[in-house]
Amino acid sequence: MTGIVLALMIAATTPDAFSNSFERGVAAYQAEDYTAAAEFFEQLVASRVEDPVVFFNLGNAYYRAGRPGHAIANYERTLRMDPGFFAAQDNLEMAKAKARRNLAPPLGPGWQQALLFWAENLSFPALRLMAIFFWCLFWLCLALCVWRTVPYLRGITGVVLVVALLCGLAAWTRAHREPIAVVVEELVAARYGPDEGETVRFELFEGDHVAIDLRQDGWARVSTVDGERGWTPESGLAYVDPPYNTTSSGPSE
Amino acid sequence: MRGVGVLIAMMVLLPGWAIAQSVSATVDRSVVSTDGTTFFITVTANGGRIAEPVIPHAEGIHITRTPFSRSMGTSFQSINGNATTVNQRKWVYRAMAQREGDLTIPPITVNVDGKKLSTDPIQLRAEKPAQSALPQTPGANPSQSNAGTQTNNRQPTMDDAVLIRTEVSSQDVYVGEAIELKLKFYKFNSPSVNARYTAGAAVPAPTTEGFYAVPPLPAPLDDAIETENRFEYYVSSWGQRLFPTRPGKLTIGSWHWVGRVVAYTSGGTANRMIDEKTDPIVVNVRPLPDPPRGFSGAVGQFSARATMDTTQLTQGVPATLRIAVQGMGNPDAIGAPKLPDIAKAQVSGPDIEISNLPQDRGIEKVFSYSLVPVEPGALEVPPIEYVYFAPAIRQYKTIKTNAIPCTVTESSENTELIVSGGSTAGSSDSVRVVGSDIRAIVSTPRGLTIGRSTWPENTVFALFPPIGFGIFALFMRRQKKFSNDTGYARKYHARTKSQKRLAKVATSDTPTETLYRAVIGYIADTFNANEAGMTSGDARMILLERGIPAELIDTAVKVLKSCERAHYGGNELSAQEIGALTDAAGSMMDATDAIVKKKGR
Repeated sequence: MTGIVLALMIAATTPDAFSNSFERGVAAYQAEDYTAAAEFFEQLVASRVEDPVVFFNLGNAYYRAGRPGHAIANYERTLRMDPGFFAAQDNLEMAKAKARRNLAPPLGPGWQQALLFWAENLSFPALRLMAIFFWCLFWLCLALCVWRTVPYLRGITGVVLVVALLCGLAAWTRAHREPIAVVVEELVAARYGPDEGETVRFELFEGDHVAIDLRQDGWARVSTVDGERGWTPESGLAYVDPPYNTTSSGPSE
Repeated sequence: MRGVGVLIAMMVLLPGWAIAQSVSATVDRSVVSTDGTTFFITVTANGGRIAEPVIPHAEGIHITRTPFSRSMGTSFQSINGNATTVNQRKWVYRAMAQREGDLTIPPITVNVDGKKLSTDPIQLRAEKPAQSALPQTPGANPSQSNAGTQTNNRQPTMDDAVLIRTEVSSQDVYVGEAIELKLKFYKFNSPSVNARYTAGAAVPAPTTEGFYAVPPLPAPLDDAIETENRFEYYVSSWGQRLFPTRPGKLTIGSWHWVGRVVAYTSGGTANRMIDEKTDPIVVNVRPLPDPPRGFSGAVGQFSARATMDTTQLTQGVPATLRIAVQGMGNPDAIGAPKLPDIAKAQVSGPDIEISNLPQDRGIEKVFSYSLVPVEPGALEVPPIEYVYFAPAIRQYKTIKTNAIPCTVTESSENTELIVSGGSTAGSSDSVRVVGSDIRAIVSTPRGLTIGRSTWPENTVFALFPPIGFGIFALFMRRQKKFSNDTGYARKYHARTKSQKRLAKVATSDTPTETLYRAVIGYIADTFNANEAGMTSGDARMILLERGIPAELIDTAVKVLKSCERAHYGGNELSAQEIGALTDAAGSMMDATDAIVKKKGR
């Protein structure tokens, strides 16, 4: 019995199964059944498929279904994977225009903005590849220094080391950055504590970005760009960074 | 004539002799206190030339050697018609009793006109401190005070010198409702009473856990004169506004004042350490009733107004809509108003600014929105509702801003474009114009693969280069040693080289010569000796010096001597003999190699 379940699970998670869900999602979208399209793409997200195109299409499906919060979250996910996905950038602007307030995500620490500004538009895989490349190059230069004397080689080796460390730091901070979420319900109350009985501290609107400080029993402690902090139910948020929370039933029009 | 001169001289000198010389000492009280209150000893000396008194040691009494005050006077006396001059000097010394009981001030000696005169001893009684009466400000007589019905006609004491009080405006409030906390320090209103905090740089504030405090530390308020216990006090105050952040019983901690009070009284200086603590204050915080839709989070009393920076707008050009909320309440809890949909405009923001209103009229929080008109014509910013909780009436209250009519002129840009605003992260002024519809979906996936952790390959990529470099560095180090250390290189290659030579023995035209060279070459290479001209005797000496076992030396020497005999005696060895010698040489080399390597390690 266990073997059968395992076999079914493997079959369900093969690339063919993924392709099938993807194609059905595209077909549903083209047939203007955006709810079904979103469900198919959500299945892929729930299967931990990480393809910027899936998130982009999911964002489009939610946008068409009139859910700008979910659309913004999925365009943000697309851009996290591929900052150069220009169509996602454009659609994100369109979705933001439909949102009520567009509270921006909180900014990262000042040292990151000063030191790693150049990495803003580079994806994590690109930064990782750059870090590996310069790291290998540094050791190669060091080996060359040991092998024979070459003018300026020590200086070049030092520069390569600095570049390698910067790329590594950028990749590490990208992989460990503060989780961001987008409000996906029309109005979400942020309370003083993780309980419905707590007093409302402030309110968030669909499409607002918040940083997640803490997650606890279905509640998330969120902070906004203007320094507000409160507890909201996780059901009202879509996480931009993995692990993603997905809606099981897809969008409701 | 001479008699007149003597008479004049007598008139001048006689008065000095005739002056009554005396010394006396008095104290200002006969019973003194041991609480540090000082009393005064007055020494008076009469005579002509008066020196400084000599203050003796007095058991149980501390007398300050430097006089508190000095005075001098001169008077003329006429005795039997003779006018005389009398000097009088007075010294006042401060003294303090150090123990209880009967005390004696020993005689104090003063040199007057060359004579040592002493005062009589003075007996004192030192007692436990009685309450020192404080000096009162004229007009602050308790009997004349109009402080209600109290009948306190007693004299103020050191216990009345300092009082501290903690006051709150209310002890039963709602979450978020402001409480005025006031810390009051009362000092007896007399310039002769001084009080000083001694336990640190600043008076610590009481703990206010569970409250949002504005300002974070109590701020000084105006000083005042107040009557307390029918005495007049100079009151220094500090104030803070507290906003409870959760329902339940919240406690404002004790206020602690540690200091010293010094009172200069007619009876001396009184000194007292003060350690005062107020009682904690428990505040009952009630939760807010169920909030209505649109509740901003603000609690207090507020007003709101909306303004536009201009009412003449241009299509696609952002303008600023400001909503200012003013009033008394926790600034942190004043949330943004709920904007209604504004037809024909896109709104983003807000940016938030907080400022204090003058004359303690509360605060003003301004929410600035970027408003971008998308169509030409009339545009109205409708009244904006602001819902807050008013503790005074115990219910939620909704206020509305005024409507703002605006006119939008057509832009020269393509009117079909949609303009989307930025966000509050500093980009609200930048407007990006994008297409009228979203970009289409992508029908070809890039790679439908499950996201996986990259740490294993990251670890490999991180560790592989330094490991490779380490291997390369070790290799380079050995190569360098080979090139720099000939002995090491010869020793390292000795066995391989000799094995190759031994392998050629069987096929050589001169096998004994080849075998001889192989053995000699091995010994020379292994022990870094000169191969040229080495004989079996030399080889034996080298092997002996290096501590090679005797049986191996014998084997080597036998092989070499056999080769030498064959070479110099002209008797070629048979193939079997050559084979046996070659095998013996090989075994000897293997054993020697093992010993050398073992020794090398």
